[in-house]
Amino acid sequence: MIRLKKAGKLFIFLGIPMIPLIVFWFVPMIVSLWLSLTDWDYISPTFNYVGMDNYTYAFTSDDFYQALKNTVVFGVFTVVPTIIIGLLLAMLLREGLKGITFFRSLMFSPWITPMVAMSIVWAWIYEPDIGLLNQVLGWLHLPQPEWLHSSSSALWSIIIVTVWKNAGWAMLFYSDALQKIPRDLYEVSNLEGSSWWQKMRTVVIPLVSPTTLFLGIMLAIESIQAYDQIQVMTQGGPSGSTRTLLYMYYQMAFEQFNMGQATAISTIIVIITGILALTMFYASKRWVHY
Amino acid sequence: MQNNKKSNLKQFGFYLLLTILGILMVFPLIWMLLSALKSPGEIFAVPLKWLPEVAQWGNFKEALELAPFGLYIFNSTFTALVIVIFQFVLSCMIAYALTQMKFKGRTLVFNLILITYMLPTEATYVPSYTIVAKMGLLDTLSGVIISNIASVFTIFLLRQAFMQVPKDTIEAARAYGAGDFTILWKIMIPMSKSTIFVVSLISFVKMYNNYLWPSLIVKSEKNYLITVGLNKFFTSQGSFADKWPLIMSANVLSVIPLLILFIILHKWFIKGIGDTGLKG
Amino acid sequence: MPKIKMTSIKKKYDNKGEEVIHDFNLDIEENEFIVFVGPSGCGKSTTLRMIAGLESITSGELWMDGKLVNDVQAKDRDIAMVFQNYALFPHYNVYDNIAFGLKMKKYKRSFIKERVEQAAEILGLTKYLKRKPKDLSGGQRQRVALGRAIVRDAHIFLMDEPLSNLDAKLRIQMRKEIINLHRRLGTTTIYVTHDQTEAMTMASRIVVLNDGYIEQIGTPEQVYNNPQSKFVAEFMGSPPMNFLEGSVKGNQLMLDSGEVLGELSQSIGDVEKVDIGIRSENIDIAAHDTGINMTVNHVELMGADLHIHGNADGKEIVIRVVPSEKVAVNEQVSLRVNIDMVHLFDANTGKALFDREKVNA
Repeated sequence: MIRLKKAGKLFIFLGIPMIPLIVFWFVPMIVSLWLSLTDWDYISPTFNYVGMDNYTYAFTSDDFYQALKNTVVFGVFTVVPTIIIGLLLAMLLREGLKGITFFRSLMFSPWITPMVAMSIVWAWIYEPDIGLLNQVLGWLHLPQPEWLHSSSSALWSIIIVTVWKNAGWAMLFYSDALQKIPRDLYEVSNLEGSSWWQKMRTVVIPLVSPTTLFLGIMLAIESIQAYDQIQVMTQGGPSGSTRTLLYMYYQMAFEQFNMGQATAISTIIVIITGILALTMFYASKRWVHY
Repeated sequence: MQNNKKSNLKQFGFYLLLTILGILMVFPLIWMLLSALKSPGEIFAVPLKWLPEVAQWGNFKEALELAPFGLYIFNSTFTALVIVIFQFVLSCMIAYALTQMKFKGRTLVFNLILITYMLPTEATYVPSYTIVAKMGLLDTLSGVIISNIASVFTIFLLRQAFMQVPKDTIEAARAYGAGDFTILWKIMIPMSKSTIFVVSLISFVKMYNNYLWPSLIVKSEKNYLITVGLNKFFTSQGSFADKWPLIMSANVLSVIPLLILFIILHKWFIKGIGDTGLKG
Repeated sequence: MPKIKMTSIKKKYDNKGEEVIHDFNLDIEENEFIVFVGPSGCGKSTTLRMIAGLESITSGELWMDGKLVNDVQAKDRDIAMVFQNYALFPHYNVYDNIAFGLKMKKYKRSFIKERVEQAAEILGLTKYLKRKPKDLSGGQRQRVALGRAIVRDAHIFLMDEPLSNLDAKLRIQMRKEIINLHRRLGTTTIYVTHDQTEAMTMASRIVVLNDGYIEQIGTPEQVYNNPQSKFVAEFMGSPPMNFLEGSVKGNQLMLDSGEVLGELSQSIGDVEKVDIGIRSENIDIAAHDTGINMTVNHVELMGADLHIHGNADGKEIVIRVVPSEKVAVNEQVSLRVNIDMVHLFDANTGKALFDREKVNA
């Protein structure tokens, strides 16, 4: 009887609330894996089991490798600068400063706004002939790239927007981490004559390393999932230069309705994410100090 | 250790630097507003004009006539709000079960949730889309809502917060005859309210800003979320160069609700995100 | 030439215009072990941090070895400091923590190794060099912090309540170790504590601080036997000094209740209101009625002594007697005060009314 009551309670607290999670997370994950072994096109009621064909196709297509390369470049060059800028902003906006909340709010405000809206603004700023950025660069006699209109600069343009939007977010986490560093460690460093860089290396970087790990993983996963800015600003172009794996997946699934190939790409994305998270966890044992 | 004059100068330089950095960070937002108030002639002026001669408030009216942004904003706010409420209720219960109930497979359930936290949502879209279609909820706001009410992020952080509630307090409540619902409602939730509030805020902002998934679900204009409607407006008007002021006006409209929210609650964002234990 | 000379040093924090250190004057000689003691908030740590260069000096002069150092940066003052919470780097092992200062100054590896091993030897840390601070006990961490200070060969050691996080037993042991270390190295040391026992047992000279003012500077004996203010008398010594209220008329010391305590050996003139300070060891239980009665509240056997707490003349007092004394709670006893050992303070200003050293001389 008691056991039955316990089971009932568990059903109410865990069973029912878990249903959406199961229906929209667990089941799709497994179904997606299975679909990647088929040639389903969404419209036809039937489909064939094609084994690893979709994967073979992906691994032998140039588009895939281009998208993979874009994903990696996008990932590395959004995560690393976001972390560095976030840390520097946090160090600049140290505790006890007058108006600190105001300045932090300024730095953080890009994160609040919808990526879609901000991408439109940036598309306007990036306009090669009449956009703000190139006009300013012109005054300074600096080169004026074509930004979103050239395959050599489009990905970098998107990277800049992404870093701009996330730096304030990273800053908040670092602000908290910095605040937890005991003040006397800085004082020891002052007494012992540490230079700025020595302080960074011996105090700041090691003691914020758990935050760096957390942000590294979160931002890396987020970079793999980047979609809005690509969709608004370039739709993957010009000539595939901003097509990441995720964008490729989107195009295959919801533009071409090639569900088999799309889910194969999504499985690869999941695997990459998993490997990434695991590597970072593993690597962290060597450089993260709790 | 400097004399006063020198340190005052240093102080001034420091604030100047902060102000410049701050302006740089918000400049795209300022530029958006300035562009929204310009006439088509002014917006294309070379060399560029920083300020509009006469603020063209009519641009907003014109944008609103071209597309029902008010409706889009309502749709977004409404869905985001409903989603956050559902997420809160479901996540509280799951987090309660995970922290206060002992059962076989508790670690397994938690690990599954943790793994899901790490995985890209997009990987579930193809089957999820089919499921929403099977439920007959394509092109409805309910479809957007129901597919978003499971939030691993919220579960994870609430579990974190619930673990901070002292065991003694819970045991004392139990000793005085409180049941699970009472403990959850009268103890766990009140004691974790700042985390819950911050997590809900973040969820709300994320849902309001969500684009990819809703863009797949909703098809007809009356169900557009602001992000979807805005991008549709951008792609339809973007080909006409002189529509930039209207596009920027639409942009301003879409951002304003969040900016108001942020201005009112900025302290919660700034203080909360760092220290409500968001980093697990 | 004094090692450290402080003249008219004052401290104000920027925003609050309130002065926290008022006119601090002190000369410290080479090899001294100076203890700053006082209740929390008295300004002792602030003063120490000004000497270290961690806080700016609002006005006044700080000299070291004949050089004015007000505007010299902390790192250039050649000072080693031990912090209350040890300030160890959690991600470095013991070796790297001790070597920290030397590494910052980019000494040769072999030199660093030699110095660190030598320090570890002195402090008994040789076995633990590879451990991280979190795997050490409180006492060991304290030793690592000391190690970091001594390898530097700095000419001044500053210690900011270094023992306050240790348990009582360890504190006594570390106290001895620090004294031995000082004896061995001879480095001029300034030690900050709120614990008067530490001050009494460690210092070559004590500086008693209260509310940003120096109350007294002197050897432990001087401070104990000849407190120059009621504050010092109360703060130094355990159990704290007893106080009764009275007056002086024609060299007769009287309690407010009218009882005459005795005749003063030194003439100080008539005083309307005096606070009469008597250490617990200078009161005895008299065999006959002395007119000064105490109701016993409770009795503590401390081992070698017996502390008797009670009420006399409306004041709570403690007396220290031999354990063989038999008293019961609620009993009334008569007290005999050693009139030659009383301390008299002006009830209004708290200043001592005579200088015992001069009396005894």
